[in-house]
This record gives sequence, structure tokens and C-alpha cells, in this order.
Amino acid sequence: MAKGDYLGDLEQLTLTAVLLLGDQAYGMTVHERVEELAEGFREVSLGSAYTTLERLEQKGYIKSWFSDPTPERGGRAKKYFKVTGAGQLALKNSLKVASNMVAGLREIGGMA
Amino acid sequence: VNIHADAFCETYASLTKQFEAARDLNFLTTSMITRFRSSLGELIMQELARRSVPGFTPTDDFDRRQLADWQDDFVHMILQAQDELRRQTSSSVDGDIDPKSTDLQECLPPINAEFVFYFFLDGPNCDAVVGDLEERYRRINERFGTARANCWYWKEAIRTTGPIAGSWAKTLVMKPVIGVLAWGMAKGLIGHDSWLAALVEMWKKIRS
Repeated sequence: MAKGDYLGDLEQLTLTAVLLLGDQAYGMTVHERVEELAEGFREVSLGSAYTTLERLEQKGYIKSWFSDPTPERGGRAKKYFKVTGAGQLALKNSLKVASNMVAGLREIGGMA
Repeated sequence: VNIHADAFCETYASLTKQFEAARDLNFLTTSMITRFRSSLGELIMQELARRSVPGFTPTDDFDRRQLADWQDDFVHMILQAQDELRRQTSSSVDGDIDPKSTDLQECLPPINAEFVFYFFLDGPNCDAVVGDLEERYRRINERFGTARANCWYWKEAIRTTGPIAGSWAKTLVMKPVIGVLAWGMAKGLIGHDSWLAALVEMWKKIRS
């Protein structure tokens, strides 16, 4: 894994949320899911979710597109997101690192 | 009213376009247009219901001439609504009517909080963020009332603006910083006797 491929915790949470939501991944739903996933550990604002999504898009881990405007949102469009192959790989690598850490800590009895 | 779904969508899309075109002919602000457009779907349903009473029976084989008539009528309705809004606006300046009390402006988030996003985001992204907030605002408004929904919207707008403004500032500051660094490097190279020696010196400094 290259140095730049490392994902921060918020990036991991956001990628996971987008993956879990599938076709329904747009700003608000992603934010809600990230809040659920991070419940009790950290607070995430909609702005943080959007800046993280933008950063992930710049890295090529997700792609985005705008839907048609809808009346229930005051005639505004939704911005949908989807995880790319590179994004899935990056998340998989991050999870592998985390599981290695857990395994290492278990060996010394650091975690139950 | 059992209207064919495609025909309804077509009517709605067409009306929305015509309404946007009509916007250029009057003084309405963008936010008022957006707010009016959000209630356009409801207006269409009311009009469809009203028109079905005298004997029109909607079928799958949709009557396009009827649709065209409706479109004309809706353009008329929109123009009437614009006149009404214009009248209300001028009256509110005189202190007769409070525009916040009209039906068209019910269940709407605080416009001042919304405005802050226009500073930092481009058009489509701004619409997406404001739309997300508005979607949740409506849900909170339905459940807890306008006062609490407004309070939530302000809080969330402030929380949301922080990271977005930070990202905007980062982008804004990065370009001049890179420019100054490049200028400094170029000046150092030009002023030095040997550009190769200067490069090596710089590399050593970076490495140390």
C-alpha cells in the first residue's frame, strides 16, 4: 500500500457508509449513516461529511453525480456517490491493517 | 385522480422549464422562485383534481391537446402568482402584510443561514448541501414545530459552514503559497552563480 493510500478514520467511515447505502448514497443519507457508525465516538457535521466525500473523490475512491431536482427539497438536486474499485481496495487494506492490530493486541492480551 | 404517471411528469417538467423562463421577465429573487417551485407539484395536483370534476376522464392514452391547454393555464397561474408575490412584497414594504405569514413561505428554513453557503460553494454543490439541510429541516418541522426546526437549522448551518469554509480557505491559500515558493526558488536559482550548485544546496536543506 502506497503512503498516500492510507485512509483516515473519517474517510473509512464515509466509504463504509457509501458502500452500505448503495444506490441511496447522497449527502444527507451518507451523513446520517456516518453519524450512526460513529455514534458515541465522534460528532460529524454535514460539512465534514461533504469535505470528506470531496477528498475521497479527489483521490479517486468515489465518484459522484447530480440527480434531477425534486420538489421535496425545494427544487434542488441531490448529489449521489458511489465507491469505485480503488475505493473498495483502499477500504479493504485499511480493514486489514486494523485486523492486524487487533490480532497483535490479542496476542499480548491487550484486548478481550 | 388517476393520471398517467408519464404524462404527469412531462407536465411537471415542462411547467418547471416555462416557469424558469418566466422568471427572467420579473423581479423575483432566486430564493422566492425556488420556494414557489417547491409548491408547484401541489398546485398541479390541485388543478388536475379541479379539472377532472367537470367530465374529463384521464386515461393512459393521454390527451396531449388537453395537456397543452393545461400548460397554458399554468403559465397564466404562475404569472398571477408572481403578481400576487409582487403585490405582497410591495405591501410588506408599506407594513400591510408580513411576507413570512403567507402560505407560500410556510415550512421554509431561515434564509440568512442558507445564504452563508453561497459564499463558499459553487452552484450545484451549494444546491446539494442546502437541499440536504432543507430535507431534514422539513422532517424536524413536521415533528417538532418551526421554532425548533429553525434552531436546528441555524446550529447545523454553523457546524456545516466550518469545514466547508476551511476547505475553501485551504484551496484559496494554497495557490499563492505555491506561487511564492516557486518565485523564491526561481529567484534563488537565478541569483546563484551555478544553478546546479543552488539545486544541490536546496536539496540538502530539504533533506536536513
